[in-house]
Amino acid sequence: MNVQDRRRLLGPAAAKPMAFSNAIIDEQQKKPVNMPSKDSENGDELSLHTGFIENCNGSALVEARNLRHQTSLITAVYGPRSIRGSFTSQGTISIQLKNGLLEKYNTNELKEVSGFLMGIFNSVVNLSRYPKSGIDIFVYLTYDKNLQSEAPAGESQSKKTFSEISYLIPHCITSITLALADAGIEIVDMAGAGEANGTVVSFIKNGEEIVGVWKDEGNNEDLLESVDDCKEQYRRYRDLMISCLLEQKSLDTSSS
Amino acid sequence: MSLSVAEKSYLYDSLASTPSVRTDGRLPHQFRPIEIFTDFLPSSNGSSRIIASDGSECIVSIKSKVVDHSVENELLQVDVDIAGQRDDALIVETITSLLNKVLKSGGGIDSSKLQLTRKYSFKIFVDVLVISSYSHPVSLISFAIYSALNSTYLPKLISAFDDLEVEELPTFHDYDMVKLEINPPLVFILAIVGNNILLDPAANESGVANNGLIITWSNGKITSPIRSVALNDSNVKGFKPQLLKQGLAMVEKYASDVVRSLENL
Amino acid sequence: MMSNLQFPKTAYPGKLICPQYSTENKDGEDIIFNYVCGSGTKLLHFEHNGRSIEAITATLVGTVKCEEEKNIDKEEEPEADQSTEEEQSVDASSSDVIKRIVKFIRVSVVPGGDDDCRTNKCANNDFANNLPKEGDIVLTRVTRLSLQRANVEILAVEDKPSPIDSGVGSNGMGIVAAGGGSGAATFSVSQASSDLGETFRGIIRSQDVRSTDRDRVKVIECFKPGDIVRAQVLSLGDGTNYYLTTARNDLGVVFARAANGAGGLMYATDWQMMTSPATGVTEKRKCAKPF
Repeated sequence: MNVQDRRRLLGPAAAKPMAFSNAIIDEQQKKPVNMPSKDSENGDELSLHTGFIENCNGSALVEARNLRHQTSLITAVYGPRSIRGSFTSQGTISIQLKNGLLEKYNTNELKEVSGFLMGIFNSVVNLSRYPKSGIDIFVYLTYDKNLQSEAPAGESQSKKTFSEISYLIPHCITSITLALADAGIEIVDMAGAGEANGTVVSFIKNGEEIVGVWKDEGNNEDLLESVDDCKEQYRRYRDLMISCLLEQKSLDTSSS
Repeated sequence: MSLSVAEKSYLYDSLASTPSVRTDGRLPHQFRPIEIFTDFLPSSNGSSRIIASDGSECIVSIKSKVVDHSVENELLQVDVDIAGQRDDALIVETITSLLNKVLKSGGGIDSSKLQLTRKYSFKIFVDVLVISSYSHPVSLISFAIYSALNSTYLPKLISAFDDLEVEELPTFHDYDMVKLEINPPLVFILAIVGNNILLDPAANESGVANNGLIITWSNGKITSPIRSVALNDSNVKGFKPQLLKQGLAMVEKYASDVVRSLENL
Repeated sequence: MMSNLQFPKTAYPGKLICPQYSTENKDGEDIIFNYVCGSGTKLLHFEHNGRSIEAITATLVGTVKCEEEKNIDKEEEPEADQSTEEEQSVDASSSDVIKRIVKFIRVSVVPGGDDDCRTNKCANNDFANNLPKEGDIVLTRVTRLSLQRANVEILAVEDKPSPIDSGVGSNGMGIVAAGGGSGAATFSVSQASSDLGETFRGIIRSQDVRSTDRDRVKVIECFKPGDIVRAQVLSLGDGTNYYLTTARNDLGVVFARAANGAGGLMYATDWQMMTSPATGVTEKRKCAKPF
């Protein structure tokens, strides 16, 4: 450890500097906690994995592919950890979104999305259980590609650059919910979201309550219909998440 | 100003009751009084200063530049600076990103109004400085941007419109200016408290709100972006889908009044 | 079965487990089951067909466990006090009708499978919901002393699975989880919610060291840096520290090394003396009763 850190004992002399292994991909291939599923109507394919990163409390990998779009993102949850400063009677959540290899989205758009996600998960996580603590969530966009843009290239350029992030948000919500459940952090419900016509709506309580709305494109007229489409997608994603978690749990018990 | 737990609970109950009782006696759709001054910065093309009744204050300056619009896609660029916040703070980046989406060409803004010649356009830089803010400032900022853009005068073009064949740069009149006629969108912020919706929430109302909505209004109708926004981090909850509908209806009903009063400055 | 309801065996976040109350009539007695939220559950408000219902909902993935609260025996528990009062008020209002018994049943969701969850995986998961709270017994290490107080860091909450990625591993001592435990987690936090994360910290004020003669406590004669101290949480304290106490016979130093950590392990000979068996040296400590 060449970093001078006077605040703590640095441990035995043989201690090596901490480094994150690059072997995450191998890890997830080893773990057979895989839930590929296919929705024949939209050509939606969703694959969910949990608990494959060792040094965080909970993690999730969501890979989604449909006719328009292909995405893969990794979420890691750290905490609850002690936070310093003034007393807080309930936990604090921070969510960071990071571009992966492809620097596709600019930082203030990602910040806006992470602020939006924080709003959602502030209402989903049972924060009163975590006084004086912070929960850090990191979402890493490993892969994100618009499949449609290859075919009609001449369509309006500006439209493409803006609306893409709304395809991403439902998967961010899915993966954060899974990672939180994997970390054993109390959440009041499996939050999920659906996307229709550029509108993203996130629900809890079987669609009885909305926790987040995001719309970048299009007009207001179709908004209320989109809400119903989103609800349908949310229910599908939620059922998948639940079966994924339960399957993982039963695997855990059989191994112990 | 932070409220105690008991005060917050009292405030929440009164706001969530039917009809909701707001601390300052406003109706659910009523705005707080605002003061707007325009055109006071001599070095910019347009400017405005807005002061809300709680002391929130915001200055907007409009500057322009001639660009080749085949290269530059976005003809409006917003930059937000909030006093006391770092440039990479969450609230600053969120508002910047949101306002850039509000003012992007093709949505609320008609980019042909900024076109000078076949090759060149004006690019408008909107610089926002929030001097003090107590509740979510995005609505206040958008009002300031609206009045600043409406008081913007740009130099008058005297060269030919068709410059594709001839290689010439646009030339401008020495002192004549043309008023910029774009109809910028407005952003409304609504607080959801229980089953009630409140327009223009004050700081204490934001502190107890269950959720918030950001709704954009342009040219007589609701447009995107539409967002839900957590107005605090302690009291956030889900809301019923009907409330989204109610919020849209409320904006639809009262937004034109706001536009009218801003136009009559 | 102690309750008349059929509980789901496994639960996931958002799964409704049971309503707040249920009633049963047995042998002329009304039994009211009052379900209390344990860990991994939350009482939530639902609206269904225009009716509003309060229901206990799972917040974790795991197995549903319910146990009856023995509230009659232990009157010192605040919850027990409340419950007996409630029972009395119920009895008073309808004393002449039929006898009513209110049973309190704590419903909780435990991560892991049906069998006893003491596996590593489970322990790791569990710390998330085992933050120190008022009344908990914690194991701490003394980091700093002053005349008025001893500063400690909290290593573990007693009777709860000890965390893998928190506590001991955080400053390079003890066994560290792969990649550095929670210390590693906090190194990567770029602009996250906190500064360099460490363990939860606590303070034992000199008045809280013992219950007798508390004005004459000399902190230096009770603790030394590095001692492992068993303490009880008094309150969540301020932003930085939990407030702890050792004012009980079974609380105090449990492990200590002689000569400020240079010597061997010492054993308590009485409540304020520890002896090193190798050298025979005695040092002063506020010891916890070992048995």
